[in-house]
Amino acid sequence: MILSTLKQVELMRKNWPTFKVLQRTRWFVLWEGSLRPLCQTYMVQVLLQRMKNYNKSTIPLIPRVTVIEPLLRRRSEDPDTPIPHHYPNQYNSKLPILCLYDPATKEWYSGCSVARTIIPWTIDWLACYEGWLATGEWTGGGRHETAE
Amino acid sequence: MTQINPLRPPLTDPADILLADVAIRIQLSRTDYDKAVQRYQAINAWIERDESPLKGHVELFYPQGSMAVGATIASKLKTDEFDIDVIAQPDLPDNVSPWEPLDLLYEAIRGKPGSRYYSKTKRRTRCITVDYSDDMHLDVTPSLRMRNTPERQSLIFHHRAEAPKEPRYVLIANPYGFAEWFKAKTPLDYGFADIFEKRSEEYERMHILTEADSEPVPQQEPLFRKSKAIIVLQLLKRWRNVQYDTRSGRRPPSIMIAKLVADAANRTDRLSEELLLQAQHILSVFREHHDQGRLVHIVNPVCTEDVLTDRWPESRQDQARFINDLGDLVQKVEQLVAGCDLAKVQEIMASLFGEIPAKEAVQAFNERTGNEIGSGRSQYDSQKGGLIIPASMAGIAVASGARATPKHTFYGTERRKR
Repeated sequence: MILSTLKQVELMRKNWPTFKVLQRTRWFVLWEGSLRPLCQTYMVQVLLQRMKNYNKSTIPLIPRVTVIEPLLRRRSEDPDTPIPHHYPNQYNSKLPILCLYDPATKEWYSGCSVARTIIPWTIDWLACYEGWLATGEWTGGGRHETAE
Repeated sequence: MTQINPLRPPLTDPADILLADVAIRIQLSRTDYDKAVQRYQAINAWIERDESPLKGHVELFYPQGSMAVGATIASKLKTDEFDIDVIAQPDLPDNVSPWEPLDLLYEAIRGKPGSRYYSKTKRRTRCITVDYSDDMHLDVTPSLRMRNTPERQSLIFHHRAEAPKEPRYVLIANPYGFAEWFKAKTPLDYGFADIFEKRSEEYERMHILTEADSEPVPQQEPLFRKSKAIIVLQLLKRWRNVQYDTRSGRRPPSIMIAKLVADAANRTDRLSEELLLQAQHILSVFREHHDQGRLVHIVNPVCTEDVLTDRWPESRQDQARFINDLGDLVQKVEQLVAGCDLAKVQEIMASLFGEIPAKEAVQAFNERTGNEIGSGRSQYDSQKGGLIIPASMAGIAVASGARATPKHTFYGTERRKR
């Protein structure tokens, strides 16, 4: 079952009332709100978008999360090592897209509620990011697909 | 007694957990505490041996200072402050000369050449120190009970044997009365004390080093059950040690810090807020005196003749430097309370309390948090948008609003290093 954008908005309003809808069309919803996983508050944007594939048919909604403030950064002790578990953002290199789930395991699908998955996963991601920033170790698990 | 705020259960905020974990790493371990007690008892027995000049003449032998209030820290800095402070109360005449009790106690502890403490004993200006090879020191202060005065109000003696022309004198003090006053002003806040105790015991189990030659000593009361005020006192002593580690001269006395902490104790819900309030309070006391052109003058509240600041600060320069240090402390703790990322928290705690305990605490926190997330056990607070951090492995009930995070796996395309 696919949750419509209307339903997603309703669930977000109920579960995360401080998150505001910045834009909404038939094709996407953009929210913005703050999270404080540990001691630092982050402003994040969540984009839920219908993606078009090469034959112009649409595929189900894909969520993308970026951290607006403060900007994510590399470790000053090791500036050559990139931030773990993110996708590059082709529209804005300063706002990498967080990799919150493994597509191979189908942890996310269009029947999932953004409010009950993506947002708590973002909290987890930010907590692990802070730990990595402080210690150099990402302790929350996960896997990378090595780029060719 | 401070009432626990049900909406703010103790030790759930990450900054508070990290401060508590630093405190756990600097406090005396159970092994070292048992060792300290054994040594204290051994010295007591030694002073009563047959050849001792004080055999049968010590009316009382009791701990004072940090050991008396449960605030001993085991610093690994250059200026180690792993001290056991003890009072020995001999039955000497009131008109005894200032050097006599010190000389007598020195002879009683040092003993004959070749005896167990002979090479370890030093005669200091107001006490006799026994230095152990593992950096523990035991300071025994002779004091004469003043009759018809509040309990254990006593005379202590000041005499520098190596500087015979310097003034020698007698002071009035009541360290026992101070310890009792301090304990009354800093009662346990039970919810917090329970969690801190559990957390300390978890740490001990993971890091315990057993000593083949020591036997366990029965605890008279739980070692790790402490109020926020005592933990803050330990953190402030550690902070003081870090600041003064490479400086020459005297440093602000622990008993002065203890007195000021007790004056403003337990008015907050959170450990970080307690630390901030205490730092601000101490700073305001110092600033007030400094602005009036005076050196700070802090007395024992149960014995006003007992001046806790009689040897420090010695000058306005000493005082100004400490005020500067306090200002820096306040500014950094304010950042912790307001919120900052874990890297910043680590940086602040390292500058305040030393790199080793700060890094260890953050590393352990990161491992625990990541382990919960990676194994699909993480929970979040839907009202605050934050991760719920268990305060203890044993599991403490969390505030309402806790929800389980669905298990997930971080992913991403690995990028090569630049």
